[in-house]
Amino acid sequence: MQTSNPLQKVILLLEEQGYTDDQVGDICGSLTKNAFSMLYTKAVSDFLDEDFQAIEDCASDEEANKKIMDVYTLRTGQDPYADMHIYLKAFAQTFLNQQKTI
Amino acid sequence: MANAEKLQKRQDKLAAREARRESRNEAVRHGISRYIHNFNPKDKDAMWWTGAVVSAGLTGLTVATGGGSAWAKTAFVGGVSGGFYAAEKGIYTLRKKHIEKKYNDTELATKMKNLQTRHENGALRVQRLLMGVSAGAVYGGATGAAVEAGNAIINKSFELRFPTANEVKKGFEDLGNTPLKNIVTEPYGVAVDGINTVHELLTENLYEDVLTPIGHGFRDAWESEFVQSKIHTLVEFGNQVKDVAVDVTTNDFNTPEGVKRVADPVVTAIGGAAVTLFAADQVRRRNRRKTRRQTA
Repeated sequence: MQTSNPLQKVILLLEEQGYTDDQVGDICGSLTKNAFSMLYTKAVSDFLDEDFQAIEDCASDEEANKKIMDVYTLRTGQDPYADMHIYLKAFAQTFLNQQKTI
Repeated sequence: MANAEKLQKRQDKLAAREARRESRNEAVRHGISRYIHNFNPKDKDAMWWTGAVVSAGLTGLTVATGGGSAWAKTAFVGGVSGGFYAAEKGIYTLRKKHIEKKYNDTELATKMKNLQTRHENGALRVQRLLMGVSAGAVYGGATGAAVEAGNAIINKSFELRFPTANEVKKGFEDLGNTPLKNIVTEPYGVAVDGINTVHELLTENLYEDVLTPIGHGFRDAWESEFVQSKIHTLVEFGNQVKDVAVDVTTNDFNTPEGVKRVADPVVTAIGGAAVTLFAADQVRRRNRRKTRRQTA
């Protein structure tokens, strides 16, 4: 299967190397863990105490979500989706390059 | 004949590929959901935060690809684990550069723990959203689905983990106000889709994935008079649904069996959902009382 998506390339490579669906699923779970770790540590280190208070004060979860996106972008310089894009691309490229050298 | 055979072969090949893709996507979704459901930051100390989040960048994939199992060792020989390690180490280094400008790991873990105490709801809201973003992006990237689609799936399952007291209340009110005839007279296909979704989200691995992370107080909550009385109410409710289902056989379904086929999962799903929410609410109330006593 042809794909230009870097993470899908990693997964196809894993399949070629005999990884089962469950193993691929576990790896995606770990990727999520690490990605969340990156985003949350960034938020905790950059958000101010009053940011958390303002998020807590939001009347609904929808309002809070919008507030978090705004604060994240303001404090860290880019929104979490952009961070995720960079993270996954960097991960996949480094992984694929490493495979070429092995 | 040859052309027909060729066409059939091609169709079989496409069907096999599609089945393979669906199976893989499902495994990816389960892998991500497992992590989300097992993540429970409530009442955790700084040491837990160090392990769970601060150091996760370096430990997560090492565990996934080199945790000591036979397959992981084989993979390591093949170099896959090495590739993951290198990729993750690079990411971790980048992340550390950003974080270390302000805090070391211990300071950061302490800050996370304190935030959880000082702004519990605010911290949970940030965690929930960022978990949804990361899970949605990984799911979208791994399966080729749009990020929004991934987010929707993951967020729905994640929402089950922290139902608020108001959500619990609303859940039961909705249950009481549900127009039963509408449930069972929906066009069959739509109803089945809806039921499957509810089933998947609310009753699949009810005990392991939803209730276990809520806390060890589950057994007490389950056995409490309050929850048991609600279960009784739900059983009664289920019987009503079945009665209504039999009454509407002439509308959208040809046979009573057809209606029953739809009504039974509805009863199971709604009952499962409501019981889950009530059990969760009990644990939440108990923990809140415990925290108040400790604070006092």
